[in-house]
Amino acid sequence: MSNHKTSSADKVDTYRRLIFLTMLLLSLIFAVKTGFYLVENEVKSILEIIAKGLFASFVIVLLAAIFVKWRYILPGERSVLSDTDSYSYQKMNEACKVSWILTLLLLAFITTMTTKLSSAFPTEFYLNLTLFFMMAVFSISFFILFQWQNEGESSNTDV
Amino acid sequence: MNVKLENRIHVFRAEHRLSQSELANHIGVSRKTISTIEIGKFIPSTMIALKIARYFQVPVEEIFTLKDIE
Repeated sequence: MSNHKTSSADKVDTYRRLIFLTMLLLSLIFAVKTGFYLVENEVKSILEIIAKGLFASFVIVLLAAIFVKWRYILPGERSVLSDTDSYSYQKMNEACKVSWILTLLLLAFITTMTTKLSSAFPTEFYLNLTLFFMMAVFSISFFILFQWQNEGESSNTDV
Repeated sequence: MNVKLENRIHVFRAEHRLSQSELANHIGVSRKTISTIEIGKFIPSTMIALKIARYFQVPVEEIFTLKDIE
């Protein structure tokens, strides 16, 4: 048999990967915003250019994810998006747990440090730092757990 | 005593001359889900196990078995 039609579940996996790539890019935007408070004025102009580039990439990948969802996942197949049995859904849950625990630890650390020492940074700095950390850990954990690369084709056709 | 879930999906696929993608299409999951079940990296839900058994028209115990680990 040589039917290689992509299943709706595979399309959902592709959509999820794009969503997590979007999240990673968004986290980098928050990282750059956090960096504004740590660098000299001369470097800020460079960071602004990087932030614009990241924002453009974020919009492009987000549009690609929306395109994949509306173009390739047909209305009758969208129930697969909420399917909790799949491998990708399980890895998404695990990545969420990792992100939640580490973000909680970061918040506890920030709270302790800012209580002991008078903070030199405004609240926005800590909010940006936390958002960066939470989304970066969530997306990177997902990619590590799910593995960006699929297994080789040999395992696919090894019959 | 610990137990491990073993499966014979690879054997059944070979008998039916099916690729992982084709089996995934038939039971409505991704190829990644099938490949990770086959290598024992992912324990499938009861629903997926039953769908695989129904597709091959065998009892689920013929595909999935528990093996004791010393």
